[in-house]
Amino acid sequence: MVVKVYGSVKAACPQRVLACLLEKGVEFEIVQVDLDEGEHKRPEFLLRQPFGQVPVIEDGDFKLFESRAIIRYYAAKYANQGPNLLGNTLEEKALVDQWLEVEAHNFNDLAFNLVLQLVILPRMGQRSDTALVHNLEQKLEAVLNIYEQRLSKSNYLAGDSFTLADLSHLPALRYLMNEAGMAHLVTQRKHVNAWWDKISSRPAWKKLASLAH
Amino acid sequence: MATPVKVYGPPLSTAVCRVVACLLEKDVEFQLISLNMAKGDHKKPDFLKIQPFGQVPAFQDEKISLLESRAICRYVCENYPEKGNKGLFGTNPLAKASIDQWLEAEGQSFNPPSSALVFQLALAPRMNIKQDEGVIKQNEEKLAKVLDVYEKRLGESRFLAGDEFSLADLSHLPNAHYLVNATDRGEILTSRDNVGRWWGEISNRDSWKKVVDMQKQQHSP
Repeated sequence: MVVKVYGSVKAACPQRVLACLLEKGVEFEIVQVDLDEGEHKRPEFLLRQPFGQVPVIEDGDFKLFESRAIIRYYAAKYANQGPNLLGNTLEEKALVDQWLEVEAHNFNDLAFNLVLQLVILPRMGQRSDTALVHNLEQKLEAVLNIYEQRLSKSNYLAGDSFTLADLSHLPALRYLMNEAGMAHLVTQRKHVNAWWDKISSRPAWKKLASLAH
Repeated sequence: MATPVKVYGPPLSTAVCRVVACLLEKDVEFQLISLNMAKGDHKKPDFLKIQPFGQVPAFQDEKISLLESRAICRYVCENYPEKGNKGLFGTNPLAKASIDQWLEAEGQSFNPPSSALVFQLALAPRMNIKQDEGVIKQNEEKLAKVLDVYEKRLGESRFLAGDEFSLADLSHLPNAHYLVNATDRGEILTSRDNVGRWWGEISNRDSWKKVVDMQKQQHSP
């Protein structure tokens, strides 16, 4: 049974799921949802994902939304296949959850709003707010200083191995470093930079990036 | 005999209450070490060692030091599967996936607008910070849309993730409690039939009533 992933291969949240499925060697099929045309807000789509967001998966009769819930599910379901993305002990798993929450609540909003201001609004012909961009950048610098500290003691966020916690950062970081022109946030930090190099060189991510961009 | 786990943070903090509610549901003994955030306790070097983002709560047991309330709750459930409410985080992978889905929905869709409203309507006045009517209106509209989704879901399902109370419902308690009890906008929840019914059920749980008592004690002279 092939997992259907509803979304676009270019959108950050579906990418989080696709990266995980690629890492675990789980077969999937992307069902395009045209965000530009507002397909995600139409009644048929709202039946699948009531908040009108992507991604949502369909695996036979099983349906699930929220990318971080989806990756937790598949990382656990296929624990014995591909790299272990969840840690080996309860404590290691707790650290994976912790850094997934840090990504969701301390990193993601700042990264998303920067990409919105620097990439999405200009594409839509709207002006970005320079004061807001500066403010967001400063806040993200403060967060990445903490990551720098963490990654100076630990190869990956949750410990010695690549896990969902690192994977979850890939889509937004890629956008920040490319289209948003914010690569300095990473390259100016020795350990964050080394970590980014490692995680973005993984074959699964490279495969996704080539599919998407 | 296990030593009580430690939770750092003020009892009035919504994120601290999320963890305390979970510990009470799971019948796990804990010690709440309060912090005076007005005095900047959470930004002092000793605290930053265990919570480098300078946020509350932080959690420690014999094995681990953790941050982020929803990660702490998941750990408590998985570390004490046989204690208290055994089904709080589901007893099989599909149940757990549904709980994770609604826990994420809480974190991504419910929390931002409800936190903003709690801050503007309940906390800012206490801190002598001027309210921003624009922010209030914007977040009311956002929250209303989210609660429309909840209204439909809770018409089909007793609790968010299924037939049983779970971590997903619990995670909503702190912000919802403030909205209903410390602002005049509580009807955003209570005026919706299914959301109102759900709110009544989850807020009446013994564990939540204990949290509310604990908050009240904070206030008494």
